[in-house]
Amino acid sequence: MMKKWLIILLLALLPSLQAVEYANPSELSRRIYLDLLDRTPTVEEYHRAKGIIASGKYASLVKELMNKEEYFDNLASKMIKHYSPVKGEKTHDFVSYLRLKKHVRDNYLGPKSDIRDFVNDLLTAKGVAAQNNMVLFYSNFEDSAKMTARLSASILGVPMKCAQCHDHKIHPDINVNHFWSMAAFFEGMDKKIVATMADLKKLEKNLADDKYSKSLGKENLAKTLEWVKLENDEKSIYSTFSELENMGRSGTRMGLTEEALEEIDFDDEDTPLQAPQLFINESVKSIKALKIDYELDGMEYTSTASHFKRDRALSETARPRDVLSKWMSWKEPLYMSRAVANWVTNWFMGRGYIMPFYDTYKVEGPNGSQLDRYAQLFMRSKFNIHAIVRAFVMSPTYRMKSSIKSDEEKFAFFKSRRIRHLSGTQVVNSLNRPYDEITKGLNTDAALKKLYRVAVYKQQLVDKIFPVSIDDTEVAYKGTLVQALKLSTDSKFLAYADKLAKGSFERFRGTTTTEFLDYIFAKLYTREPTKPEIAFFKAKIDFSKSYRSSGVFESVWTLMNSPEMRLY
Amino acid sequence: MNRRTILKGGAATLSGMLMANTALGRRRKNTMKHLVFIQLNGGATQFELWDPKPGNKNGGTTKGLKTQIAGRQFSEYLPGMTEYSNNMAVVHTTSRIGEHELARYYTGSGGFGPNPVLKHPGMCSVVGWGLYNENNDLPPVVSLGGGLTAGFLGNAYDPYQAGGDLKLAVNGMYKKAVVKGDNMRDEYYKVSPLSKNDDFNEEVKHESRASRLALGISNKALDISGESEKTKEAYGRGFGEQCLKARRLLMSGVPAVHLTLGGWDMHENVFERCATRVPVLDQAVSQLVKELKAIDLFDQTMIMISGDFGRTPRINNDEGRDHYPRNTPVALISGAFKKGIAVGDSGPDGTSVNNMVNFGAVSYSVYKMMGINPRGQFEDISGRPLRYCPSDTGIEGLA
Repeated sequence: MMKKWLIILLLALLPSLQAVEYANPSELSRRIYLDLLDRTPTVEEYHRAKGIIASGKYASLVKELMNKEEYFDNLASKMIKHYSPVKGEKTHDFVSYLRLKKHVRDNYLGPKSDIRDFVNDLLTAKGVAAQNNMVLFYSNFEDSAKMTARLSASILGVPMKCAQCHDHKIHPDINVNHFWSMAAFFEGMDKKIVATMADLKKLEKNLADDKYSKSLGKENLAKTLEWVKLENDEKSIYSTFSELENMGRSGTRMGLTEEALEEIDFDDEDTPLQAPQLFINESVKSIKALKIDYELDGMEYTSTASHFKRDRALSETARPRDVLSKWMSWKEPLYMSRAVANWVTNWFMGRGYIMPFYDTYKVEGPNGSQLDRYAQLFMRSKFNIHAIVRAFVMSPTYRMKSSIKSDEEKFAFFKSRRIRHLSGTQVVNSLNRPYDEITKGLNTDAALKKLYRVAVYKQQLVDKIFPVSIDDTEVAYKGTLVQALKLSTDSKFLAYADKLAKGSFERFRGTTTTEFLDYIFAKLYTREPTKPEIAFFKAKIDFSKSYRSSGVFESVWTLMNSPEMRLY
Repeated sequence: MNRRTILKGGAATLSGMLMANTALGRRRKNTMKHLVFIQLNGGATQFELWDPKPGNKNGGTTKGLKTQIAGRQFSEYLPGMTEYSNNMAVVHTTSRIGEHELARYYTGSGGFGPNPVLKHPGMCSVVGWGLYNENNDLPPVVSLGGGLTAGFLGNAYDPYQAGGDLKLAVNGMYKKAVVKGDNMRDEYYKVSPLSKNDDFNEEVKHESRASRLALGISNKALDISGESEKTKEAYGRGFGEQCLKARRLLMSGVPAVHLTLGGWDMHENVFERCATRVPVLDQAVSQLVKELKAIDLFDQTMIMISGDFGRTPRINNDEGRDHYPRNTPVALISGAFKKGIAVGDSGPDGTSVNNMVNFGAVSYSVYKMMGINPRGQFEDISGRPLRYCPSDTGIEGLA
């Protein structure tokens, strides 16, 4: 324990050798809420957080926020985003991913959690998606090459996909054969969407084969058979879930994304299943039998898993993905630790210590050294994700003042933090009430039900207003016309502005305009208004008039539609 | 050469140097101002469009119509286009990309293959970026269905997806207040701490433009309810309405409009299906050309029609044609063409690739005609120079 805190202290001191200007309590309270809870603080939370930071107890605020449900929810979302297929290449629908989020939160984010367990379960996932949520980290759109490219980058921080067509240009020691020999490991997977009765019959036949069913494992086999029986009885597996988890899904072919459904060739004579599922099994027993054919420049080649470049002996008899998982997370995996440290940095700063953030194969310079320090800390904390989150949030790097331009643009060492844009989720979360308020007075089941509904509603809103993922392009991100158009004229947002303005009008009618401004600036911008701002709005607002003529709605609309609302 | 000529040349050179890296510097004067990209989703058959082979077994039952392009016929389903074929260039391109998604990227981006680490902009976004007039409330690129993103050009040039109901009406209850709020926001920005930062000007412009677009007369550009039934009939329903909206957008000054007409993946019954599909295209585009001529925009507009790829000369057992990227024709229509041109030739049975070009040559010529330097580079945020046109040469006889 002491050792861990000593390292955190050292990490805190090292960058302080350079001149760093720190963020003020207002700026930092907005930042910490947005980063850890994915929303801005409420007015009450803001004043409290500001006071805590100003009194030098920032660490206690971090601890408090990291104990909130919203933090675990946010962390689970970040992990799913990092490790799962990209949007548009997912097989299962949004609701399935909400279930996966709950699964990750409940199983891999405990106080002593080890991310190697998560990675292992992800890499070796088998069974039916609705029953083993970790299957959702795969997609029917991906072949072995695509899985190699995605998983090597997200888990190891090694961009193998560049070596798919040619030897890696930046890391010449990764060559084409390395890529394809790793891809061979995935050739043993039996991965398919079981969508029709004919598919189900085929699966049943396979499951009757001892060798095939043995590889699923007892628990997965039992669950798969349970699902097969349900479908044979024309029942959806989702009908066995609680209303809360089911989210109103009904009818046939439910559970898949539209893209996945389009891929399926439903024969008129065949019956579609009630709830088609992505199913995964390992049909090959050992890596000896694995090979993959590929074509380069018109020539055909074959690579085998046995060719895999290894720095230690690999089991020739274990299941291929088990072998790969063990190899990736062997003892103290530096590459995996660097990859985690860099995506955590990317989460909190909008960029990793190393860019692009998925390439941490070779690190050098001050950024590389800093990243390696975090990787070491991660290893010493027994691969506990909360330890690295806490260390980074406590670091001087994170607490720097924001600026418009920073050295980040040239990918040099952090000397300042670049102003970031709120993601679509953060905007929508900030305009909605926080979880505590939504679930106030409700029992657990009713609260969860409400949270699921709110989550679905929010996602629909985000998809509508932010069709392009800001997170993916944040370095070059500028607000778009579409967003401005929606935020300023969409009926939902106008209704929100109206509600906020009307509530404020009622609340502050007997008081001064300054009090109203203090409230609304804290609510939307997490700061106090400046003197020129107070003077400006005082001239525009008249509480003695009726609500419609008071100028309160226009003021709220103005503040919601100025760029600061979407910055932090 | 006299003194005046030298002075003019000197001034031009100096201004050219000063303007090289500015938005205005991306285009030249007196060039075209609009691109309409019509994407024929699924890969349209060249034999039933601009390259019929009547009398040959590969031509099937499709008859030909005489055009004003020397030695070329169009299919019997394109009577409208034959009338203005003197304003057309039919360019045959050749590639090896026969998969829909990849081919749509290839043709949409003007000839780039997909790249795992780089997203290329669609041709409409390049034109929107090159020709954008910041004084116009409307977006630089409008898509009425589909199309690529702006890729590395940044999402300011992503197509504004205006499919479905195009009205951007603000709820009447809030309209007055939003007009007041809009003025207040412009004033407020001057006292906001952010006003010191130029970097936010772009966002402020988006926000002001958004309100003007939703509240002002620009919104009319997206609303065809005022058009007469006669006009709507002349364009036809469905795709015809897209073309009518495109005409309104061009009139309002939008540089690039992307349209999509699907249903071209004709592996079966190609002749039967073309008899109903091609006339839809012909009617709508011909009416668009007619109206652009009437409002003097035809000379300033390039209409580009391209499918994912061409289709096989051989007619398969299901009376259909399969994917055939070796001959992917592109039709360019503009008043700037004073004489009909055909580039490339598929021979008497449609299997040859004589003098065909790659798609990059098409985008090179289109960009050049639009006044955008096809050899230019876009610097991304890290200073990396990126080409938005893959080719160094265009099509002889075009640009």
